[in-house]
Amino acid sequence: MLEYVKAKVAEYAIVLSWIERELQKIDTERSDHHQLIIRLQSRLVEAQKLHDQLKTLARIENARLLRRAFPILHELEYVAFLLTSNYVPALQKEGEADRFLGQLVLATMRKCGLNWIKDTIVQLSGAHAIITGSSLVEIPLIFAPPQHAASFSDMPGLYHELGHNVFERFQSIADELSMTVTQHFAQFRKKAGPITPEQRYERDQSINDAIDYWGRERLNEIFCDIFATFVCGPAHYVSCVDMGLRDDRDPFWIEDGDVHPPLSARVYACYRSLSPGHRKERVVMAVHTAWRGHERLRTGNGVFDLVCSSVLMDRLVETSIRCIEQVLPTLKRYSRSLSQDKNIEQVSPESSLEDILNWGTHLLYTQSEELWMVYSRK
Amino acid sequence: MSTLGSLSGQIEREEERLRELNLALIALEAQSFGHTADFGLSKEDIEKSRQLLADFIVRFRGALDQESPRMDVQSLVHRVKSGIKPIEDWREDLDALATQLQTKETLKEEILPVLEDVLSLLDTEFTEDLRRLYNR
Repeated sequence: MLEYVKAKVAEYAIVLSWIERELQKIDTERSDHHQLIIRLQSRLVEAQKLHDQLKTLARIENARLLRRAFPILHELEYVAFLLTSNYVPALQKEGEADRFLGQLVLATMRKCGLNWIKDTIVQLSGAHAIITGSSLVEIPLIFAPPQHAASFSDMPGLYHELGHNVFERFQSIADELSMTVTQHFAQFRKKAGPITPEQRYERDQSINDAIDYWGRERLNEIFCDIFATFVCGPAHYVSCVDMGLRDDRDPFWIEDGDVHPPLSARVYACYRSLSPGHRKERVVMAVHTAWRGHERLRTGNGVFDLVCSSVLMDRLVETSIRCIEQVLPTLKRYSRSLSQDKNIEQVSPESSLEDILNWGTHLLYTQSEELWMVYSRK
Repeated sequence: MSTLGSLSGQIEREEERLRELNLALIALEAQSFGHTADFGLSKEDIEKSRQLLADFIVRFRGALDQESPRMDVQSLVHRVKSGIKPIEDWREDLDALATQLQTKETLKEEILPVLEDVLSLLDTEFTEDLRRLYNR
């Protein structure tokens, strides 16, 4: 065991000093991510302190204390993964398109009131995702599909990722949502009516499972759907339905291994997060009808009806919107009317990303044949 | 659909807690085995570490009796309840540990395994999420 720990001390000495050199090199060559690099360097300093503890444990050779080396090794592994597999390559490979989208997202985050953000880096390398742990909440790393370099299609999904950053920044959101779940099922438990003790036991077990299902990670995901629709309006709702229609899974199926709630619950939460006026927009009605048709192809199930009941989802939407309004008081729900907007085909320097995405969605669904003809000719 | 957004937040919280508690346990074990000078630990450092561990153990012990434990200890409670060690034994051991941590005496060697077991559960939770992060 001692030999293993000593070997890891040597291994991490090499890795940590390589990271230090790389960060210095990037900072010297390009000054545009100085703030981000400072934050990463302070994360590295923490890892170096852990490495010092590891060295002491290896040096004093006390078998009992040596057991404390393993949590340290796991933490060093995590920091190395975060930096060597994510932030450092994103900085090294940042191209023009990454930088353009990064600036766009940064401006959008600031406009939305996420004023704790110091910098961000975007890597156009795959599905939407974000790294936004508590020590990195000011400098999130965002992954997005490469086609964002040329197309706004699917881009509303980025707002879901920004939701993760907000959820992480304000711990009270998780507490409030968890309380909503607890209160909902406490009320539901009381409504049992006349049943046998065996039936009551079974019912209570199902309710306990439903409460366990809504752990922090799932509340995080549903909050992000609600946040994204609150900020980006119909464009995000349409994007969420599009994701659901592309997915071949049963939209009512509860998967314990997936941190995302079932698609029917997510789409419902997005729909309920739209303003009443937006629910009457032509594009929203068309997509809503398509989704209901998709749902009718499946039969649903009792577990879904308990775990993701519309009453619970409505309460989660209500709590999430209340939290958003509390923690981001300057952020307003997206409210521009699409069908009555005369500027819909004119993008100006004052247009927000939300406006552009909503206009694009509206045009795509109301003038799809014209667009198809234009791009076919090219 | 990526799990990275929710997982990266979760794992950072786990890492921060594991780091604090593990360093605190190192401090108390260093005191028990006469190695405080090797780690450059002062009396104040030992006292802070003891307080940190005491606060956590009291919170964790309380959560074992709650129907809906707070989110930060929810998964640890779940792990303990589904483990092979009877919950009654956990309650008894944690009560004894909390009492010891609230005195200013050097921790007795026989109580250390309880603290190490708790840390081991937290480390398992962290490494499981680390694997999920690799596979995201």
